[in-house]
Amino acid sequence: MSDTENCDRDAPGAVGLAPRRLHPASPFIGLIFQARQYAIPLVATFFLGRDSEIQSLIFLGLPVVIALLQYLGWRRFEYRIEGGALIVDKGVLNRHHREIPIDRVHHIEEIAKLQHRVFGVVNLKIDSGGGESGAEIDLDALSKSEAARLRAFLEGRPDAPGPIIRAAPDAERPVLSIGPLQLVVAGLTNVPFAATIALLASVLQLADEVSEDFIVAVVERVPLTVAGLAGSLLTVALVYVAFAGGASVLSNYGFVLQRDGNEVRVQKGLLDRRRSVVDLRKLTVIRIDETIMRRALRLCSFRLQTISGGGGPFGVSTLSVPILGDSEVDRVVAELMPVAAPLPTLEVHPPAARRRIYVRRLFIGLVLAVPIGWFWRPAGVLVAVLLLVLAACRAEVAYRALGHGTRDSVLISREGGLRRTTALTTWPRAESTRLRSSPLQRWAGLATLYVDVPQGRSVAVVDADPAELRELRKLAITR
Amino acid sequence: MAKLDRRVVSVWRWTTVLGGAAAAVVTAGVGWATLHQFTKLWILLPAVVLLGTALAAWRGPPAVWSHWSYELADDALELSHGVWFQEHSVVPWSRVQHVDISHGPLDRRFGLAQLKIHTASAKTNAKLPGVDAAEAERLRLDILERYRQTLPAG
Repeated sequence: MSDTENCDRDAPGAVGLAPRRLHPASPFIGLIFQARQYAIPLVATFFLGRDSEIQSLIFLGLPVVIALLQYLGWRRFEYRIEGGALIVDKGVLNRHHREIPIDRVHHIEEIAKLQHRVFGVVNLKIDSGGGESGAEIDLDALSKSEAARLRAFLEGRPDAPGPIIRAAPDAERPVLSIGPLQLVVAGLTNVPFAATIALLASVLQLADEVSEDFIVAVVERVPLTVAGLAGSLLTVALVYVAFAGGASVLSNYGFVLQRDGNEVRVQKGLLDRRRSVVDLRKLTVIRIDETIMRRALRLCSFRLQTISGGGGPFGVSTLSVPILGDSEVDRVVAELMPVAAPLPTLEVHPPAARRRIYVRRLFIGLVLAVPIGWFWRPAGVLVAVLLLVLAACRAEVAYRALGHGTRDSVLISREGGLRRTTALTTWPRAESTRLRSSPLQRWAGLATLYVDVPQGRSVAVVDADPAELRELRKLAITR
Repeated sequence: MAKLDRRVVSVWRWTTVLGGAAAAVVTAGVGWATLHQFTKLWILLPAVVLLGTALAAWRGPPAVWSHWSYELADDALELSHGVWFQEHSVVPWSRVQHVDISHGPLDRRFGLAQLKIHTASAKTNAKLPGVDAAEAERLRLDILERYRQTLPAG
């Protein structure tokens, strides 16, 4: 039966899709996934237990059982569109039935990993903001045409099925595209300072573990000249660039962000190709991140938080813009959250906030500095002084990062230290507000306002004047 | 602003005493197993825990209760609580998703109930931990009615 014949359009408004299975490649893709999980135990069984009949049986039998389960799982997995809902029935031993009303679907993601591309299929993830940690419906795998047809149904245009990102879109406006060189810069500037230190520490620890003979052999090969030293540093720099830049290019290659009415569409990825569609009406928070390196280069990145429960850590959608020039921020914000653009100048927090940050940072600095200065004097004293100067610098940076402001129905709040984050949310997205104060905050005449949004982290205005925050949160009720 | 039912102080006291007693038993076991061969002073460990529990049960619940208040205002539910870390939550009526009433064993013993108001955000902190069981049901209906009034007509 052809796809067209499967469409049931008898009743007006009851457009449906007859029950169908996933692509026949689905069990093979599942097997590849399982093989990755069981590879190490199976190899260990092969090498360690080849004399034991039971272990040999496990080695031979486990793949057969997994393959059988994959096949049965594929046979028992059916999806259909009926009565305005996407319905999935699945399960070999325990049967599961799930229905998602189509009008609740607001995040569709199409992923084509390497194994999908081998079979010419895609993985379609569908979310309705049900609060689960992963996608609520995961169709792995569908043929490209079937995925396009299903997406068309879910996007409410069953008569005009087409690819999620058309080759020459008319209605869609490209908002942003990022080239490979920019992605390399994104990778290089995204490494937090602490992570770099940790990486260096790991390298030093590894060097400590390596045999002395090996290190001597390597050192002997490097000529002790300026050119030799420069060559060594260049090698380290190239490895760093390859890792940091390479990872960024792999995950974001061909990044294109497009706007189509109330939808934003993103495609990216070199090996794992991802195509996402998000309903902008479900956007709750935009977070603009600036690491210290990016601030110096006048760059930043965006993370979009949506009502969707699926996606990355902290319930945050996987949608992100890996790199963006400061001059383009207002333009992109205008596309994603028009009422927020252009971003207003943020209000500076009271001097008491500066004192509080200094006290906190210097207290932590003292806890570290005093023992170092005491037990390892006289050199320790110098280290202790440096630690305290560093703590004071970090306190000043953290205070200067603090700021908040409003524009129409938008709340903007900025905080952080070496990594600074500006959060934008709209008052209609506020589910509740919490005004919190610790004893030390009350002593300093400060408080923190949390604006709770559906899913994910709240937006916080830290260490501000309580009276001002009370006025601010009235907007959450009146708007 | 309305206060919680005063009986909740007894519930909190019992909760503190039961928790402290369990901690004392565990401390006694660990102290005996690790220290009794060296000193008889291991008995001081559970004694200190019991003393701390008695102090916390005596002074803690009344202090927490005196800082707890709530109000069903015209446009939102407002809750204020916390002795050291004070928090003032506001939940607009239009954001209420559902209201839960629960009764623990101690709540039932003292004729109390816990009322929890849910919104679409998991971070919302809107729980009334000690209201009279009958009053909780009245509050639930009142809150849902206030939510309905925020809906567009028709």
